[in-house]
Amino acid sequence: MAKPFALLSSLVFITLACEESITAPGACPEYCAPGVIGVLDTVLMGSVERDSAFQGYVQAFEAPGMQVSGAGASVESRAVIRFRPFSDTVVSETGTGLPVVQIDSFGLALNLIDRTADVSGIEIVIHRIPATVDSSTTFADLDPYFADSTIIALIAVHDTAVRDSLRGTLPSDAFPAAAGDSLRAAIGISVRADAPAFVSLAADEFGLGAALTRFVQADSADGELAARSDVMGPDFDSFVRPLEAPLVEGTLAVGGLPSTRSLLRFTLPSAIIDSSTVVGATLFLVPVEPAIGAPGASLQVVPAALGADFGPKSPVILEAPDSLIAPGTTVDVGAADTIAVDLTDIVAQWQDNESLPHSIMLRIGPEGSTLGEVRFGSSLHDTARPSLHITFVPPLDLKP
Amino acid sequence: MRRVAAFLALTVLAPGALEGQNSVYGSRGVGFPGRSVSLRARSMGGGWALFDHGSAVNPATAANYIALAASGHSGTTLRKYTANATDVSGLRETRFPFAVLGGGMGRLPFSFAISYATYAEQTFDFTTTGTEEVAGVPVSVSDRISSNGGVIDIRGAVGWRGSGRRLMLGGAFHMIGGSSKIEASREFPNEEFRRYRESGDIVFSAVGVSTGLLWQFRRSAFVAAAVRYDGSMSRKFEGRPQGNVDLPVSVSGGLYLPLFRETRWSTTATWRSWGKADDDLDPDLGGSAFDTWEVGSGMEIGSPAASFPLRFGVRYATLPFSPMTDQPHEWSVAVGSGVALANGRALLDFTLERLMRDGAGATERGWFIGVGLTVEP
Repeated sequence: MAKPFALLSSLVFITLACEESITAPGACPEYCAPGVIGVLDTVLMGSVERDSAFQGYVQAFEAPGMQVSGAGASVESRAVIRFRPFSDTVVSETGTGLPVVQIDSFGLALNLIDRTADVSGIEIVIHRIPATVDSSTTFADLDPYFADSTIIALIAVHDTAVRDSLRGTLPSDAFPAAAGDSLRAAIGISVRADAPAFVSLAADEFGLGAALTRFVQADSADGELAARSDVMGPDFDSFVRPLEAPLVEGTLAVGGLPSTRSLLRFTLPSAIIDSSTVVGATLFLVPVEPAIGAPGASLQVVPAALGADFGPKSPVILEAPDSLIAPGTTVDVGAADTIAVDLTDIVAQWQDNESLPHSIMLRIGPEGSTLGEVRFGSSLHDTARPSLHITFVPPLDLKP
Repeated sequence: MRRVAAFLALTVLAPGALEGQNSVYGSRGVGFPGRSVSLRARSMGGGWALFDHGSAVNPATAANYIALAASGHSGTTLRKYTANATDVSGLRETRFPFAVLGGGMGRLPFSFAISYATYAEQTFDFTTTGTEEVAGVPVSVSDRISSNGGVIDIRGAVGWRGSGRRLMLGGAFHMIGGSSKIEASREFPNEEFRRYRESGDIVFSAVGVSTGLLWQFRRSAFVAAAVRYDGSMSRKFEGRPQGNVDLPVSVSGGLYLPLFRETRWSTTATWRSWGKADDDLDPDLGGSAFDTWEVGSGMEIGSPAASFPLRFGVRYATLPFSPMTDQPHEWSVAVGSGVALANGRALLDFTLERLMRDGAGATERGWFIGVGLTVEP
């Protein structure tokens, strides 16, 4: 009896232990699943409301980059760098201070992080400017100092260089007023080329700020002159541009200096946001003028979901995953085409987390490091209102 | 008893979902109808169902419970089908489609039976690919809709036995419920859009009543009849109504005859008014519902309480739901046996059934392998 029972038990176990395997291709339309997955598509013209633009998020002197745009561009800009003060002594090998007898020259190191592509003959022009430059100094204040007479060096940018270390030599008399400015040196940077162009230089906030090396003759202890050098980094670096025209009513903007962000609030039909699954969402922004910026530059318009809607100080949560891969939408300077910003993952976050406000903050990326600005119509604009194109799957219908 | 315990342990430890079998014909209407029959009756083509207190077709048979007893079975279905020139093979499901507990009521001539049965199975997993226009642009899509579950029938029956058990009458109340786990997804292979996923339960709800009789018209020969009325079944997916389906009136009749020593023959025929559900089917999906006939007949040679009786039977049934205008049907032939354990206090039954379904542009073939256990403590 034991044997038959063992066999039966095995049969039972084999029978019950079979894995499910029920996946089958549908032989449509007759032998398909009874549910219908439908994709619907709609453009919500009035879904954006109570939108506003706010300025002042990142100042130019806080930015990791300095964009210098040359003449002939829609907007011109100049970089300014003030170095920490030199001492009237240099340090000997033994650590003692040796009095500086004379200055031989200066060496300037800059780091190029971007430039106009396909423009040759770019030169970085170094000007002598007052060491009193600070965050309140305007483009107009500095304009007199960007003359040919103030040029102290020219640094050529190789035509193929995009990211590069740039070095130049400044004469010993480059900073004649330094003695009266506590041995503090400041330079202004402009750019010139065969065609309108720009360069972006790393700022101190980038971790690769400019460096000014002083080569001197020092009085050594034995009365002989000794060649020595010391180097100073910036204690202030920024870039300036002419004053921007103020935003007119019915207009929003992103970018500019200091940076502007736009807060857009959405009202979405409950049938879409609460009951359906959004598979695609694209925000269309209609520019009211061509994108402003350095010639040949591209701007990134980046959307971010908000953790809560407190107006201009709303906490921005991590950008949607697709924005991390391809941060936002690229807009070329000078373009006036309608801008399509993908909000699919942000709307999906709204559907996953009902506590999130249906609001986004639009900004330029990276903020503060670009002259670029995009101005587009707000919900109050007569003809250039933003719209939201939503593609969604309505709730599954399981008819008998 | 140790062997019974070992069997139960194996049953509990083995993986497997709990519902009934499925079919390519099971995606419309309420799904593929289940069978409220014991494994013993199934081995005999269902012919024994109307006389079997281990089945849940005729509430009068509940009167046959004198002592407490419980039974149930599990089964695996292996299937393949061809539909619209699409060949699918290697389909496999393991289910626990039926269980019943019954017993007497002291010295009263009444007994009770409580059973669980698959009323209809809605398990499927379809994948389709195609192109759909979104905003006027053709977009490639890949869809998958799966359903795992079905409609269950919880029956509470009371049977009365007359003197000498020549006449038995019974009545039952049916709670029809259950749910199916639905998962739907759409992927866009070219990644134009985000993946769509939706899941939830579709919940079924209805009630029914049934009555029946069993009459011994001569020694060891019986006739039986049963009538069952089920109401309209509501279907809600995540709380949203998805359309009701009218459930059928069922009328069954059967004959049981002892042919010669230790040999019994039984036949059961059932008509169901599934056709009234035709108006409930979604016209956009097409398809039809039909009244059905089910006729099963089989023999058992040997004592059912002894080891290894031989059971066999054949069954023909028309199927209630079709995606087209013609009605599919099913033939099945079954063979089975059993073994008595623990001095006859436990019976282990097993059956092998060949399933052949045809019609409405599809052909389905399958095997059902079932193992059942009856325990009388």
